[in-house]
Amino acid sequence: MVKMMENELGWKNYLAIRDFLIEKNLLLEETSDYRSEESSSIEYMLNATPKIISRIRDHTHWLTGVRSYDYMKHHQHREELFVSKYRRLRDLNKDLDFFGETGILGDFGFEIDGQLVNLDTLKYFESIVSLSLTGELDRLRNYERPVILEIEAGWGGLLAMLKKHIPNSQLVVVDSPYSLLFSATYLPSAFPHASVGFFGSSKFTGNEDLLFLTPTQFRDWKPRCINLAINTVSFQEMTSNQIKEYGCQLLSKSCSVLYSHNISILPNNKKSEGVEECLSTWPYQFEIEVLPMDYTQLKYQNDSEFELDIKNRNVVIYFILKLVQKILNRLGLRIQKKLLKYCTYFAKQELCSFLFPKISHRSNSVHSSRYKHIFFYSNLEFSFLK
Amino acid sequence: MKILIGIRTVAYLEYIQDFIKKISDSDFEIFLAIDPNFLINNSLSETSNWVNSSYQLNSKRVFTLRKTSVSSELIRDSLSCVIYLNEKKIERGYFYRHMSRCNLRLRHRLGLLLLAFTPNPIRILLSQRLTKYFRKIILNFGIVNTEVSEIMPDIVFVLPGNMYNSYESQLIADAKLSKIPVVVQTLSWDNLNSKGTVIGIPDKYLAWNSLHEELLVNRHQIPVTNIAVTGSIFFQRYTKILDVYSKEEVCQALGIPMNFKLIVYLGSSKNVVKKEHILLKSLLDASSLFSNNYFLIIRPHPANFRTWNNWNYPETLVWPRFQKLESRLTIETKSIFKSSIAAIGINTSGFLDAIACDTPLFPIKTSKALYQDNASHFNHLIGTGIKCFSSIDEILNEIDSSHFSIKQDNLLNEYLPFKNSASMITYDEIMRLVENGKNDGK
Repeated sequence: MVKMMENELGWKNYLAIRDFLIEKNLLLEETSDYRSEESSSIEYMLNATPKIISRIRDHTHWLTGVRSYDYMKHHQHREELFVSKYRRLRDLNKDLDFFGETGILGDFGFEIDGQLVNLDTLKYFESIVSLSLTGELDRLRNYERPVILEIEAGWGGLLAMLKKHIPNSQLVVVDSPYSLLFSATYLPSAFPHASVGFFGSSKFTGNEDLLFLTPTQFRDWKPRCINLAINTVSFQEMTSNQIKEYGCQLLSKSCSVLYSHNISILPNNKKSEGVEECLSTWPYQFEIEVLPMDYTQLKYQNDSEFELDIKNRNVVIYFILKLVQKILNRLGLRIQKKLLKYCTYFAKQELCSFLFPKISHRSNSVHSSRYKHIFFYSNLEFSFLK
Repeated sequence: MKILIGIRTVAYLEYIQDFIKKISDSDFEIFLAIDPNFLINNSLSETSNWVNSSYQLNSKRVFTLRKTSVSSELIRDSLSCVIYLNEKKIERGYFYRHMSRCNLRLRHRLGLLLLAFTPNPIRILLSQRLTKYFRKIILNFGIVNTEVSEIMPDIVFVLPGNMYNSYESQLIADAKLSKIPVVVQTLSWDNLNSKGTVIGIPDKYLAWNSLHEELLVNRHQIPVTNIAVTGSIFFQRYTKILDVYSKEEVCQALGIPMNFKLIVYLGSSKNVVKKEHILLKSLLDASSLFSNNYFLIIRPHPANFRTWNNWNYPETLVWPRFQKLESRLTIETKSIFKSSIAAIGINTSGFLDAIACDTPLFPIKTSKALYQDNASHFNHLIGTGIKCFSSIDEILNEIDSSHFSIKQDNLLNEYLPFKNSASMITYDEIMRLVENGKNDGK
């Protein structure tokens, strides 16, 4: 019965966003090459049936690459990997609550500590951990009604998790029209009591709990301030101009903090100068390391395992590496740090740690994982008072 | 009238912003000489454009200062170290730090160390003679920045002229050799006791307060007639702001629950405390009165802001995470101070911000700080009657005690005299020198 009501709510939410997008002609909005390729794959969602919407999460792999199929019973043997990463993340801040998948519209994952967990969930939790480690989560909790905006929120999983940590927050999604079909269906279904606003609709007041905007509409939206803006794994796919435009727009809308979890420059993205470079107009930025591995990796190979692994594979190479390690360790710490920096550009993190055991764990590991958690600060907290 | 401003970095213009405005509004033609090591993006034109646009400074010419000869540098470095030995009590921490930074030869280092351990009257006598001797022979190297004789300004204004490897300090010698009056402006609170000295005696050394005057006479061997106490132009900015945000607005902007009493924690530089966040955490952990009643706004030191990157402690907030001196948010800073019941910290120029904003100041004395007990600027502060505390609870008890009242007028007069008119007094001093220079020329 509950399931049926959830599905009905999902269908109702889907119809609301679909009809709005069609009515306002927003589906024709211009977008980047990458997004148009992605949009063409999910065009079929415009003609979705209630059955499809009741399992919309089976279709979100078009947005994040995480497939529900990989979490079915016959893949149960992979659960251990998830458990180990889940534990590592939780150990970083034991007081931080963990909220898994909401359990609606086909949410999937392995059950750990009574919560549904998949790769997306762990990625979002990693972001929440980084927000908590930098004090941002506490800062947002102190606001009466913090405004949290996500640029390209996908199906809305991270915002759903954040809303559970900060229930009084107002969530704003800025995304391509086809992606809004997912987030504007999922988020209102996950929070059935939240009010929903589509920018440009006649009923839009701007005070709703969940706001949905397309990138073009974002320029015209005039909020009082934005307490936190988020972008995960999509600035890396944008051109320099797009990133800079978002950066400037956020500053003009008095955004205090921008959190980015991206690779600086994707090898196949020739039109980007790098996320940090494009957002260098923000007065201050810093990177924080959450785990010494990317969110896409589940298993963290420690140094002794790595050493054993090489020894087993090829003894000669092992001894050569051991010799190199000894030579390198005789060098001064400053030279070692410099060499490590260059080494991380072309060698695996495990190999770097093996070659530079003295400093690899002490370094800030700027290059140890390719995905970086970076916080940008604007100092614009007071600007809405002016 | 022509004024040549010799400056280490254009960021320092912020310290004399009001004075700069005053001279650009008057008849002065402005020439700017900058240390080539501190240009914006290593480009003179970019630096020049930035200065002209940021300060509406229509500078006639901007050029880079020249490097002096190796022997001249050696004398300058020796002079910078020897001045530490001119006083009865040597600030050994700063003396050793300065000596380690300077490019001295071994025999010079040994000589200085020997002098440092020589008994008092002899040591002072010798070092004072050496100071005079170094200042005399440095003039023998001749004019280095030939632009001075080309421009022939009516006055040369140097800021600050006493830093390590200072290029602009040569302008003092150049101006003296060209018989042009020269003025040196003190840069900051601790600039005269933690840095080096000027290579020549300027016609006027502009000091902020009596502490500076004392240091200039005793340590830097500047005759009292060549010193003018003009106040701090930098802190004059606070007096210009009359309307500040209310506590409610501050709390709303920063996301602080209204029921908390606000306290500002003023971050210190890395030289003072190595891992300041660990020190503050231990202080907060040890406090039983702090939680649920007070909220701490941490204001990082501009040269030690990264230490707060991973700061995460309940009822505290780091703000602003970082801001450049030239983009300092004065209204916001003053509003935070005005909304706070107290300002606490280890040892920082930020104390003067608190004094300028009339916020009660509570320095925390700790054995983990490097330059506190043995730093004359900190001791001078304590000498004015400010009480030191060893824990946060001690401070909170003091605040809550019935006999607590804000008595900072003495401090304000002592540290920031002429808080409304520092730039005007500076301008008048300069005009007087220009007039005198003209009369002497006639």
